[in-house]
Amino acid sequence: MVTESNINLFEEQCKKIFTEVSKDVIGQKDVVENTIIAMIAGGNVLLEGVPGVGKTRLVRTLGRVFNMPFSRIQFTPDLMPADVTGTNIIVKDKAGNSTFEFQPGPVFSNIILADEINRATPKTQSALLEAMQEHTVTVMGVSRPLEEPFFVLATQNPIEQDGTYPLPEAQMDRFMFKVNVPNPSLEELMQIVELTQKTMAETADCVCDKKQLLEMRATANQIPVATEVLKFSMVLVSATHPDSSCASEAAKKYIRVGASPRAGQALISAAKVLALINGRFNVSYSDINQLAYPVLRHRIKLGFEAIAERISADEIIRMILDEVNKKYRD
Amino acid sequence: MQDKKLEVLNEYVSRLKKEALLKAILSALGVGFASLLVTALACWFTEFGGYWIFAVVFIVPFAASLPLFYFFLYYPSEKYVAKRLDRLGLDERILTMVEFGGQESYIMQRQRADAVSALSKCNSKLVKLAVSASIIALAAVGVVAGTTMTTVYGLAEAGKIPSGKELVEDAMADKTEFELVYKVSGEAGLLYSPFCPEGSTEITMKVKKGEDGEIILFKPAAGFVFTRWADGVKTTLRRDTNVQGKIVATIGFENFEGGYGDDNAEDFAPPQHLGNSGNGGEGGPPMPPNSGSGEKDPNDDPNTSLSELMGWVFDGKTDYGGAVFEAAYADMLAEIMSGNYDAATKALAEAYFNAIKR
Repeated sequence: MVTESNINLFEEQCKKIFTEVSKDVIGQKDVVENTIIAMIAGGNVLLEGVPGVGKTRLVRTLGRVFNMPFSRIQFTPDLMPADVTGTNIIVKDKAGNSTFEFQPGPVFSNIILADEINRATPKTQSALLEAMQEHTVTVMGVSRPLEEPFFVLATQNPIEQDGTYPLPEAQMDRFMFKVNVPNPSLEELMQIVELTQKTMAETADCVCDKKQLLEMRATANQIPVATEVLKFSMVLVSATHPDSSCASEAAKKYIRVGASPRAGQALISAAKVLALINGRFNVSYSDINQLAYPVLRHRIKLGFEAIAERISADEIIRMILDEVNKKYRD
Repeated sequence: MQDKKLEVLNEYVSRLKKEALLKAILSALGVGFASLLVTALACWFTEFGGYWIFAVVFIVPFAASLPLFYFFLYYPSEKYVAKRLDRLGLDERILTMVEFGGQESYIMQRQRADAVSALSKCNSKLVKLAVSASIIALAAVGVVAGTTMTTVYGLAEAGKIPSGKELVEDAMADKTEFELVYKVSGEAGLLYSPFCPEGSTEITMKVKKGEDGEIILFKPAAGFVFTRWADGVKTTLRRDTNVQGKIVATIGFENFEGGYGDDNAEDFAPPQHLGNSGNGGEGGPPMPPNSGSGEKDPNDDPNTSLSELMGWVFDGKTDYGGAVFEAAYADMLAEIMSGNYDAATKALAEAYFNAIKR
């Protein structure tokens, strides 16, 4: 049961988290906000951006702010699944007999930084699949639960395509958000250089532990969603399917495969958090519209026309939003 | 908290009820005038009279549909009110408050308080009365169409414009036209008609199938005697009625070389049974010559019509003008006009007598 103290805790913690993160991460307000929303909502995030924009720094900062065990996995082409999940090794017990003992891999942590996830082979990438969705790891037939809260914050570089393996749709669908990390503006660039000239040390303090984060999640989950708003978000997800009854004109023209039902779940979960961050106690259409981009951009499969006309996923989402808002709300 | 919620909504609800009433009135007007349109159209086609009908067919549908539109279509539900209020920038606060009004969890209490607080900062006048363009357009079309059709009916009733029935009949009527051509060759004389009073050797007119042509009168020149039209008509005055085809009629005539002269004046006496005085003789009107063709002498037959008499000599040589003939024929004309002849015959007689006058 959510009480006044839960609401107050949420508000205080949010303020502190944003303040601490801003000490080490200059600018990138939307990126930071989206990542924190996903973490509070319990989702995984894929950060995509060119090298040097602060993707890894952000994840490390979040790891410190949330005061949770943090693992970094640098994905390379020779990384094996066992390097991620762990494996059984032979050890000698006290009696001198050889037995198998499970050695947990770096995935057994609360926050996983999967750096350059598209560099690893599909086999290794899929080692994260079970962990990301079900928060369990199965090795040699034995399923081991991962400690809550569990997040995978993955990064990838959009420009180096040689020697990379695009993430399969099944794995992409398990990321709640895909956040594009843009280049910093001129003012932000100046601040970054000034900051790092003084010190490279990261100064953010921990302000939120596991228990508090889980309480924040439970609080946000109680935010009510009116049926009209829920219907609107489901219509939006359906509108990305070219063959559905709610299909938008943009989807019919540019999308080959639309977003899965996980998109609808992600939209609502994240919208509840966003509403509470904005000081509201209900989800609104504007929350859904704002979160449509990070939720849908990696879940829609572009068709040939979109590729030929060089239309990005964000542009298609904008067209769909315009159409759905006009049809549904007016 | 629940009561406060309802109180806060009240002023907005009453404003939206006004909007609903306005929409209902416009819609009912559309229905009323549409009914008027249909009725006026039917009356215009069937020539059915009675302006009282229009009052009834407007008022009854208008009065019946108005409450239906208001209560069943446009009456603002709580959800509708909430959606309209949220458009004031309230971020679906009211919609959520209305939907989850029964819940008393802490979150819902905070949500309601937040919604009421946000709503209290709004002015009810910010909720504009919105009537969709389609309702206005339908009402306008109904009003214009109904009024126009009623006006058309009124004009048709007043005889200013034809009724629908007349238009249909006219449209279905056979519009085939035939040409009527009347000719006289050479210098034998001239043809006269109401639209050709100066005379001509050829008169042409177009007549619709089944209608009558205009009166045609032949006046022979000096030295010529009318015999008959080429198609058999024996009168110098003719009017072709119920025309069913093209008619080309030429005048048959003879050169009158010898002339009747005074010796034959008795042959030119006016017809007896019409009461003309004299039987030839000096100053008397001539009698028609005995053609010897075996044709019946109309003078012998008291039932001979005026048109048959006009087949007799009208030779253009003899001066039928002047006081003697005019007086005699004026009497005949008066007798015919006051007699029991049909209108066509009377028109014929009048045209004939006018033709012989100077």
